[in-house]
Amino acid sequence: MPLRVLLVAACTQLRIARRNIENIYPLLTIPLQSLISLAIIVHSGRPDLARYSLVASLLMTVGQMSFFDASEILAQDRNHQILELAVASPTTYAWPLIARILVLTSMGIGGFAESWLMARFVFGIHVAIFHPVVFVITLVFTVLSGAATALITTAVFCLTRTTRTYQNAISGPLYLLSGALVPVSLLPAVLRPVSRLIYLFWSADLLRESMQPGDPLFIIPRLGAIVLLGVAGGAFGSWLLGRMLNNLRREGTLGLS
Amino acid sequence: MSFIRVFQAGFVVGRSDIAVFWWNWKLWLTTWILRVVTSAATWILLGRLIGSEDRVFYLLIGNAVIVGPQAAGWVVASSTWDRFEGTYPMLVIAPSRLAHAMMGRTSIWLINGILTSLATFVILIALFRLPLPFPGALFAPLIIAVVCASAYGFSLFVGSIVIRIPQTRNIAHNLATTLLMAFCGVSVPVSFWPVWIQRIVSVMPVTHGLLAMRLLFSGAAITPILQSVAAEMAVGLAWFVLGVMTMDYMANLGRRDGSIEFV
Amino acid sequence: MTAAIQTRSLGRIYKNQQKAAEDIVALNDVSIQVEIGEVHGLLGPNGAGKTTLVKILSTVLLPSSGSASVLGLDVERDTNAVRRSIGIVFGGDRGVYWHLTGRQNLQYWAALYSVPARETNSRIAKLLERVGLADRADHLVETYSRGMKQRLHLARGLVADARVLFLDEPTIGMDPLAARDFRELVRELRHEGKTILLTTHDMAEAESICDRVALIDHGRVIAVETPRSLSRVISQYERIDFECDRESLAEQLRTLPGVSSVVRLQDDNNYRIDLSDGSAVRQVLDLLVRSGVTSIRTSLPSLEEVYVHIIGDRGLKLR
Repeated sequence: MPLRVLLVAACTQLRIARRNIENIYPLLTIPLQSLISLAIIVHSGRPDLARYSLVASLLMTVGQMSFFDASEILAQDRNHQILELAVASPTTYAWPLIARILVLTSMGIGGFAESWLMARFVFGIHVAIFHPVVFVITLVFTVLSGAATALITTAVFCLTRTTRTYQNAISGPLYLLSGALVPVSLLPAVLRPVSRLIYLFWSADLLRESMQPGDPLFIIPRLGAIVLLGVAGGAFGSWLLGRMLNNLRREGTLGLS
Repeated sequence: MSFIRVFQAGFVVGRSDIAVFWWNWKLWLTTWILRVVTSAATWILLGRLIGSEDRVFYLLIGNAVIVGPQAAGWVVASSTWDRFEGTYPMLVIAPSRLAHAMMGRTSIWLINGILTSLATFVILIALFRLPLPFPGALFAPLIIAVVCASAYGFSLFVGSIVIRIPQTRNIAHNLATTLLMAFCGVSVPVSFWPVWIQRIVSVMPVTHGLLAMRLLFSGAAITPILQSVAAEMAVGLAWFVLGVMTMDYMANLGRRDGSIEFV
Repeated sequence: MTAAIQTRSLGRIYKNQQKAAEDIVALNDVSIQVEIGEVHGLLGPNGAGKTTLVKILSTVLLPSSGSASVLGLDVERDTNAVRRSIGIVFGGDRGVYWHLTGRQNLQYWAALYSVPARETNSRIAKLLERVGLADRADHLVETYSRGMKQRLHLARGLVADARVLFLDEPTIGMDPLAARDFRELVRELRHEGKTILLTTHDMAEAESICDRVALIDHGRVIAVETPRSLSRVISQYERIDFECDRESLAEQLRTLPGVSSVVRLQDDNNYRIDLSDGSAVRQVLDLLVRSGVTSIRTSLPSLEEVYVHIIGDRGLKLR
């Protein structure tokens, strides 16, 4: 494992993110979404549901980074003709890419923290984490799976010029089907099997349960599902990315000018 | 006469802008509307999680209306595109008024907003079986058009500022529409918020128009509905005029400090 | 008669937000006059102030001091009237909408310049023909090559049929053939009576199409001359190149009055004589012919040499 490449790439991404407001902008907008959901919950007199709002904030930040902003990294590299140089280097492009994406998906933790603070200090709701170990492990696995899965979207979205059309379209169905804000049990039964294919679905339930007093059941298999979907996504994604880069090499469109 | 011609010319550019995203109505329906409806449904289902059907309908009306202003909010980003295309200095130099060409180009997003809200309303009503007040419901499209138009005026204002700092276009759009969604009575009544927020919200788009829509669906008398619609129109018009003035002001500011680049 | 373009002590300072002491002086006391029908070049390195001057004249930028007028109209007071009488083209492939066709782009700008509706279509057709885009007029600009986008951009600048044209580094990035066609077009426009202000750092371009050239550097106009007389500014006199294999002859030449230097070019048998006095030509030629030298050439320094000489060999160094 080219550990140095991963570290250097991650540091590079941190430096870029520091100067680029677009990179951190889910951290500014997603807590506002929890402002809305917390307001609804508080107004309805159900502060016990606040954990739904917090988990949504975490998962939507990870999702935003993994499904949208990650592909922006490749698009930018392509626009600035860096992709050509990166592909010409001896390192497989997927490695630095995944490290850079990981920096982004890690911001999901920030999204959660912001929402927790918002619940605490704006609405006066203290959301306790009853099972911190389960919570932290789920969180880490979610962030990692998010980074790995992002390789698929990155590869797919770079294939065509019309990616934004589809990229724009998936956020709605994605969060609905993965139960990021409301549990999928509220969805029509026919849609529920699809949810099981999204790593966010497994994270959502487990995270919410770690914020409840009762012991969560089947922890290991559910964590396993997150890891499995992440690994499968990452493997498929890097294969797809390789094919896509080859395609671009064949067409001579690695750099956009 | 000259205004109409410049507006039309700008509209052609606007049409090509939207075609970059959705080049036919089927694609618009299966990607854009799918996204908008599923996002709205997520919020509405929160009402179901809470366990109150009243809450479900409250969220349904709020979300079906707000998607229009959100879509019309693309004006914010679109008003900066001339900066990236190198056409902005050309528009400033041209003898016709910058704002007229900009209105022409950005008005496509107003149309998109109205159509988005209408389509979302129809689909959500069907999905959640919202009881419709007849014949009052027939006026709903009119209210939607007014709300979208006033949000367009507001977005034009935000856009006219963002022209100076085009790299903030997406975040400005997102913040503006999310704040409208949070405070203007979409998810919780305006009265839920502190008084100072309520005061600000009363001069923001959506607030009064959405209230009119809620009155309409609750079978209220015609007078308060019309009053709210009139208030929404007044607010929208004020933002619109401010937006047009700011656009000229920003162009002149750019001429003074030399921030209008040729390339 | 009013001049087409006139500036009086024009100055422009860009404020440095952090330190007032480090304000950038982009233009300093620039006074130029361009006559109607003239092709006037602004020649200078990057950052010299050429684009700043064009920006002020085209009303995109306000001057910090002094005044500027186009066709007698003040760029600050009569902004709208100025805008109606100018056209502008800048280099590169931007300034046109990529998602529209070439024709749609021109229709757009025709509307913004209030070109009479009944004239618009025929004018656009002629322009497209003129810049060689008639075949591709109805294709999307994003399918155009860089050169085609540049030509469309040029047509865009001509669509209003303005009397005064500003061309800001119009041939930047063009291939030599395209640049040649472009220069031909500029000559045609001059025949039509247009006044053209052209910025460039390409000496050959300025030399081949400009009636007069203003050398500009560090925001100041250093000289305004015809390309030919500009050459005389430094080396007022001719230079003589000759071929011979006797170093002694070179020694002999150096002693003649009016000869400032005799240099051997590379390791060849070629020599160059620079004169400091034009009347020495005859004497020098006499001596050369008498010494049996048959390969003799007299010439004026090229504008490029003038440019390098005046601006110095600062080359790529930026301020």
